[in-house]
Amino acid sequence: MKALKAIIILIFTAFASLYLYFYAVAPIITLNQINKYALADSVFMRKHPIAAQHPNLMHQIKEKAFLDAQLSLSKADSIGLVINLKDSTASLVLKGVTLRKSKIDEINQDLIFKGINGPAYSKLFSKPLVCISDSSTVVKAPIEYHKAPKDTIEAMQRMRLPDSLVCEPGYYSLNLNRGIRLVMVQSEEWTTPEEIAVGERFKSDMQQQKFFLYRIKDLKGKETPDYIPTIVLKTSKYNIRAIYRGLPDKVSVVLSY
Amino acid sequence: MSDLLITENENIEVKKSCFKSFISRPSIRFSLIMASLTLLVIILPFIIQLVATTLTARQFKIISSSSSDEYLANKATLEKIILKQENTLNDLTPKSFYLIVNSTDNDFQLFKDKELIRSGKCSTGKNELLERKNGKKYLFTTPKGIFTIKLKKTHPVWTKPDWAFIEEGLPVPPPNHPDRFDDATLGDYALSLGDGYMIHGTVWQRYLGLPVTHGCIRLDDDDLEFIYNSLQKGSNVYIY
Repeated sequence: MKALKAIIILIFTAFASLYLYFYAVAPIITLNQINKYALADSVFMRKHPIAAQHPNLMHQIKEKAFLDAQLSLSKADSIGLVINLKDSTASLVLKGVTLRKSKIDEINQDLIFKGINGPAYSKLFSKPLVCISDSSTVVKAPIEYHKAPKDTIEAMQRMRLPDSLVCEPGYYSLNLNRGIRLVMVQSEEWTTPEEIAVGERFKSDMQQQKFFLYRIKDLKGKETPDYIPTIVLKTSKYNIRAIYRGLPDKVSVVLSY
Repeated sequence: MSDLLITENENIEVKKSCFKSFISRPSIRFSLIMASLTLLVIILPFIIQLVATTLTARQFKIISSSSSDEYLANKATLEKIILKQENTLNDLTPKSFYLIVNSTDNDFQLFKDKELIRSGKCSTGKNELLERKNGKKYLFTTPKGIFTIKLKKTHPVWTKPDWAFIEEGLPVPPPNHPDRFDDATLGDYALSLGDGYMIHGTVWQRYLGLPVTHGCIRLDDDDLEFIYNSLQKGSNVYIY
């Protein structure tokens, strides 16, 4: 009995240690790295001395970083994504012109974002973040392939109208440079079986990376960092579809919170 | 009555002692401790993160504490920069009319500066790849990005390209053949965006709101007239 208890305690301690490492220690290490990285960068600090002046100026520092990033984005020739968590909006922007502003229904951001100091905030968010990889349940370019009809009869038979009401489940995940993940999730309930199947698959793919057992498995391969600061946004699937299709392959994201 | 009360009290005592003896069993006690520890471990990361985040913010406050004069001076400097940047950003929005087309939902919005002037349905590219027998391919999509109005035409005549015949299963006529010229399909006005893409009218108004075109932007008669009169040569058209 004592031996069994000892084994249970041992297993529990091991799992608890790993769990605490992934969900408590790793986020804090990441936060410290982010904060120190900016303060230790003398070139950056010389360029942005005001960012480190006073924590009560955080509002102004954030505002300035947001405008800096938007101005930088306006120089690009392609459409960019501007996420403003204070206004709960996600916008498609091109050359400083807002093409579409979508309301975000719900925001879930990791706690460590609140611990990012002024210099680190400026360093992270005063330039657009670049998407390294992304995935979505929405088809980017729904192009249909057709062979030219032989005659007018075949052409008439082929004529059909697209169904504008059909909208795939809306999930969109972006892995951004500077180690941040942004996930957009549809706020509507799943209705059709197809929607449920696709949605569940994407959700489990996304959540798998947060699951404890996945993290332990991944320790060996080290495919992903121990912790990735993540922001999850809930909005309509129609917004997600329009945003995803409107964005180019190389996505630039401006983030403000 | 008092007998009955005693019995009830006794019952409670018996239950209490049973519970105590159950709890005092080593295996049960061990399970309870383990369950409590598990619960604690699950909650702990949130508490640790919260404390660490607060401490980090406080630590930064100590590092960067400056006098109130400095603080006010920095605040004023920052606010000045912000105001300047806001103006620069606002200046990027055209002050004259410009059109925004959503090719996913097939709708449009006409703006002047930041004011929405008119909105409605349109039709954009049907996202189709048509392949000819000889292997030549035609892609019917509306390009995305920023465009300018290159040319404005009233009563436009459409010079049908080869794909207009191929798609209908008709033989392709030679260039300048009368069958190539169509003065009804484009409506009363056309605004050219370059590379053969146009904003024009349509005879199939019931398809507005659907992706059915070969890349052009179709509007209904009233919207087309209003947009034709609003947009000038050089006006911006944003398509996403």
